[in-house]
Amino acid sequence: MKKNDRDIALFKKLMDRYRFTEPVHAEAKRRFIADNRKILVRVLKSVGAFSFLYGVYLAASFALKKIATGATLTKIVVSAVTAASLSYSGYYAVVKIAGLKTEKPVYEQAVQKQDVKNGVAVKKETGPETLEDIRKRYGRLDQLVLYNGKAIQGAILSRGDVYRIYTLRGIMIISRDKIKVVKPL
Amino acid sequence: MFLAHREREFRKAYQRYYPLIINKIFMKVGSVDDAEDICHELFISFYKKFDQVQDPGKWLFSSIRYEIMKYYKRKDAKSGISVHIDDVENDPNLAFENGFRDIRIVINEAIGNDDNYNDERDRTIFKLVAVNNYTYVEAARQMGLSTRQVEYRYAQTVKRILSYLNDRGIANIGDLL
Repeated sequence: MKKNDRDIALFKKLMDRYRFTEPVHAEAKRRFIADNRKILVRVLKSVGAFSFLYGVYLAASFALKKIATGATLTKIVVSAVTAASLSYSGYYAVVKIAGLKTEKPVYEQAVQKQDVKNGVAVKKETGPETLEDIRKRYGRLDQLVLYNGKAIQGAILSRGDVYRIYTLRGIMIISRDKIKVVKPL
Repeated sequence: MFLAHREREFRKAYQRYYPLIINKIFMKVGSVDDAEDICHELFISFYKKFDQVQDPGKWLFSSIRYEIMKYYKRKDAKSGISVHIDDVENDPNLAFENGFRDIRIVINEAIGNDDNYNDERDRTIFKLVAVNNYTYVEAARQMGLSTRQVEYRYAQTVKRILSYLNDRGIANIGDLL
């Protein structure tokens, strides 16, 4: 037995020996713990200070007490807001500042302009319905596999530092260093 | 706004003193139902006089006796049963005589010394565990704390009390048993 535990046990005996104890029996303890909120509500109702909202607040407050975390409702709310802020700022720092955002295709803004090479007017809203349409239109179909694992299917319009690919969702511009594999379908 | 502040302060005082008050009343009246009714009446009186009360703890504890008498007076009038207030108020501790009165006084001083408690919560935990024989789990549920917190706080309080007794010349409490 640790010294601390031994001291506590001895102290308990001392309290009993000199009759400082006033033991409450188990049933009474159970009732007192269970009726804590009930008595407060009774008091507030008796003095006319009870309202529905206050009742809801008390229910939440006592529910937290039952969990016995030692935290008040205010502390929980502050902790939740802090955790959410930290999570978002962490995400922002990693994704936006460090540039580690998962590859998201950049759709060409001017998709409504005519594609000079093919003479086909491409509109984002009225794009091809299937990949077969693209194959028919451009005579080929390619697949780009990105380093992030994403696969993009469509017809490559131009290559270089930046790839332009015609897909079911419109024309996408993808930096070459993001592309792992290019293969025809 | 004022009302909200008042209610908030009242609720804090209630949560701080309810465990001690209800146990104290129960020790005096010996009935759970009566103890709860008296506690209810006591806190109503406290709410009504809340703005005038300087020290809620002192006010509540000093009003317990009065509320008990008031409660039984009313109950007697209704039921016709005669209850002797002197019996209700008979505290076995007051009748304690076995030749160790001096030591009891020193222990009482140690328990009553504010320096041995970090805050009111420590005092409540101590009274629940050491005086009312609550287990750590029961005290934790009553206080809305974790069991570990209760255990730690209680151990720290006991340590300080033993240190206090040590300063008063009681080096080994085993000798007192």
